[in-house]
This record gives sequence, structure tokens and C-alpha cells, in this order.
Amino acid sequence: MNFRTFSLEFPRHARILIQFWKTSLVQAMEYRVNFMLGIGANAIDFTIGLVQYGFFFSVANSIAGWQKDQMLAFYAIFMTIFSLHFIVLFPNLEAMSQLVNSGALDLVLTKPISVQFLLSFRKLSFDEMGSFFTSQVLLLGLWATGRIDVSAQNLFLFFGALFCSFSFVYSFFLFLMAIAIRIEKLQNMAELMWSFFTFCRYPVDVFPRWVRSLFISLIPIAFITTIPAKALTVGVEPSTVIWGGFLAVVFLFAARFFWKTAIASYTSAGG
Amino acid sequence: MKNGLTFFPKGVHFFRVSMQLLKAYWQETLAYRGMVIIWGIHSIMVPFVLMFVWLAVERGSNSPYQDGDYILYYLAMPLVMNFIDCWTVFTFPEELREGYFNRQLLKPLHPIWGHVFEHIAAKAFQLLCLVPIVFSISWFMGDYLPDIDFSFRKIALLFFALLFAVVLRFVMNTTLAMTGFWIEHVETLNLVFNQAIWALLGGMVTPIETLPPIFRIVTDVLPYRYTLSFPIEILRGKISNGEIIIGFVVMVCWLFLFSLAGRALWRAGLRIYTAYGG
Repeated sequence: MNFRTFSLEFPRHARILIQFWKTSLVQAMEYRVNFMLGIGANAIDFTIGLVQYGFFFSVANSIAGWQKDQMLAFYAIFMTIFSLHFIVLFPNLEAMSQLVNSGALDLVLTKPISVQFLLSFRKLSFDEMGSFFTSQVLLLGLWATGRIDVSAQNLFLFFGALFCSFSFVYSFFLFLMAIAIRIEKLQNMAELMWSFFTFCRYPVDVFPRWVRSLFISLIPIAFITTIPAKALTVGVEPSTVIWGGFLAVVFLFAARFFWKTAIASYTSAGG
Repeated sequence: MKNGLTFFPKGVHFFRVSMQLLKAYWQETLAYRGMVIIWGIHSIMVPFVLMFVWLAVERGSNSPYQDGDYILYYLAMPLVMNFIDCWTVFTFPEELREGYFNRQLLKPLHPIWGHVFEHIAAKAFQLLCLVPIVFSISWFMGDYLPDIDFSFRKIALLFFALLFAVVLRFVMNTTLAMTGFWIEHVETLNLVFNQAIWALLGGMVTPIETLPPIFRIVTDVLPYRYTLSFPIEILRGKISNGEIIIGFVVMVCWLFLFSLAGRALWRAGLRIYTAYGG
């Protein structure tokens, strides 16, 4: 399905997606204790992550120029992006290898709906809801107590940068989905996604200068968390965000192209 | 014991069986080599990023670690992590859920041994990939590393510290995995007890030796430090003899406690296990 038909039929797709998400919720609620336990454990995980910064700043005064409050905002933004990836993308990536190996992908391909759309967002995982909401509370708390001072321009740039960030995460995800079609032997693509997030967990300013410029110019690691967090706390040049937007478009198209060729080369598992 | 599930089978027969199992798991590891290598790279990346974070940190004047210490710490970490890594907490509950566990119970060998040999095979392969990478980075960064002496005493201590750490981590994780008899998804418990707290109090994010004294009381009593930071502290060589002895004593205590708990859970679990699926 090409982009034009997809945008024309978007309402239908949205309705179908909502049905799928409802099913996901019902499935998750089937194990109610586990559902609540997951969210609780996740909130604890988030808190421990916060305590880590307490440990950091018991020894350190600042991390590569980032003060404590800025670092907290950084963490909240990182966890927002990381948990959203866990909620929306991760379960689908996990399911992909299984679909390819069992040949169930054939069935999906025959449906009169955008395959990329369906396979990307079909499943939801609710475990990371705890992280998501706690990080919003943390951000709001930082803002309400005046620890981060947000101007209208900064907020605008922040949302711009956040949008770039989502685009990069999605293109990397789509790229891995395409790899999962080509190489059946890889058991768990999700681990590659985590490796990628390892670099985004701390500001790119900690890396040597040449690595940092690489992360801003070509490999968009900086745009995942550092640039949005900077935009919110100290502000960034609008040109940086514009460059990010340009890169995001390039990456999205590249990932889409890679995905299409992978789907075209899919020969089914047989049986 | 009943139905032949002796934990320590006797004699030459056991040796032959374990060699065969090792061979089988080695083949399996080779079949999934791509995944193992990816996992190896991932395990290097986390300490690597943390190393850069600590090098970029503006430290207070009271910090016991200098740049070189941090580099040494985070270069040694992937190797230690490779040794102590344990995934029974994922595989064992899955066996229970999917019903493969029934098959394991039929074998004339305690099912835990299968996990032990699987771990040995996978780790040996991962180590083969890790050692060249870590050593080439250390050679590259040789000028920054502090001097370490390798006396016989230290190598022996290091060996035992690592061995105990591996066993302790395995027993801890497997004990947690045993709760899978009752709980549908052990992964959530694992996330809190074995990963988040471990990263914090085991010395992954912050080297234990740089922590303020108040935190040290907690880290020295809990088992986490001994499965990650302790061997590296011995390697660095700034830890006193008294501390080493206390460390080993605490480790043995935890090992004993977890073995007892694991055994109790195992027995109670077997009794209620009703084998879903095929």
C-alpha cells in the first residue's frame, strides 16, 4: 500500500488499530495480578534509576556540564521515550521473528491493510506504563517547583526535537523489523534495540569530541534524548532542530525503502 | 532421593553424561552464534558508556578513583559480567509455561544440570569473543591504566572471588526462577531484584569503592556487591586483607541461605506442579 492510499484510508486504519489495542488490553488484563505487578515493578525500577543519580551526584558535582536538576529532566525525557518504545514498538518487534519463523506473516500480507502500519503498532505492552506516568510526574514536578525554567520558544523547540526523536526511534525499529524478515536465525531483535538505547541513556556530551560530532551530524544518537533535554532545560539553536528534522526525514525514507525491499524478498517459511 | 533425581550423581557415568551435555550445548551455542555475539557486544557497550560518563564527571576532591581507575574498572566489568551472567530466570519459567519441563523431569539427572552446562557452553563461547576485544582496548588505553601487580596470591584470590561470584549469582537467579512454579511471569520480579537493584548496589553504575560510608553498610551486607564489584576490587588491589576475608564470609553466608531457600522452593514447587501444555 503506498503512502497516498494510506493517508486516504487513515480513518479506517485508526479504527482497526484501536480494535487491536483493545484486544491487547483484554489479553493483558487476563492475568490481572501480573498486570498490576508489572506496573508496580516498573515504577520501582524507575525510582531506582532516580536513586542512581543520587549516587552519581554524591561523588560528582556535574556530569559533562549537566547540573543535577538538568540531569533529572534528562532522565525523565529519556524514560518517556524509552517507555513509549516499550509500550508501542517493543512487543511488535518481539512478535516479528515469531511471525517470520512460523510463516504466520503470510496471513498478514494478504490483508487489505498497510502491512507496515499493522505490524508496527498492532500490539501494546502495558508493563512500562508505570515508567511513562512517573516520568511525566517528574517532569511536571521539576517545572512546578521552578527547577527548570521553560520559555515558549524552548517548549516549541522541545516538541520539535521530540518529534525528531520519535522518528529516529521508529526508523531504527523499522530497520530491525526488516532485518528480522531477512535473517530468521536472530532470536531476539529487541536486544539490539536496547544496545542502541544504551548510548542515549546519558548526555552525548560525555563522549570524546569526535564521537559527539558524529552523533549529531550523521548517527542521530544525540537527537534521541540529549537535544530534546537540552531544548527544554537550557535551549538549543533552532538550526540544530531543523538539521534533526532533515535527518529524520532521510532516515524515515531509508528505513521505509529497506522495509519494502525486505518484504518484497520474503519467500515465506513454508509449512 | 525419589525417582532417581539425585543432585550429585556418582562416578564415571556422571562424567560421561556431563561431557555429552557440554558437547550438545556447545553445538547449540554455535547454532545461535549470531545472537550470542550480539549479546556480547551489548554487554561491552553498557560499561563502555558508563566509563565515558565517569570520565566526563567533574569529581569532588575527595574521590578515591582517578581516571585510570575508572577505565580499569569498566574494562574489567564486561569480563566479570560474562562470567556471572545467568539466565535461568528466563529459561526455567519458560520451560514450566511451555511444558518442556515434563521432559526434563523424565531424564535420570537433576534438571538443574542441564542449565549449568548450557551456561558453561554459552559463556565459554562468549568469552572467546570478548577477550580479544577487551584486551585490544586495554592495549590501546595502556598508558592511562594504573599499574597492577599480578602476584600468585592475587591471581588465586581473583580466581576464587570469581568462582564464588559465579556460583552465588547462579544460585540467586535460580532460586528466583523457582518462584515460577507459582508466579506466571518471574521477569517482573527479576527486573526489580536482580537487575535494577543489582545495577545500583552491585557497582555497575557507581564503583562501590567510591560510595559514601553510609551506602557502604548496605552494599557490603547485601549479596549484590559480591557478584560484580568484589572481583574487580581485588584486581585493583586497594582492598585490605580484612575486607577480603569479610567479603568471602558474607558470600558464603548468602550462598548457604539461597541454596536452602532454592531447595525448599524446588521441593514445594515440584509437589504442586501440574504440567500445563504438552
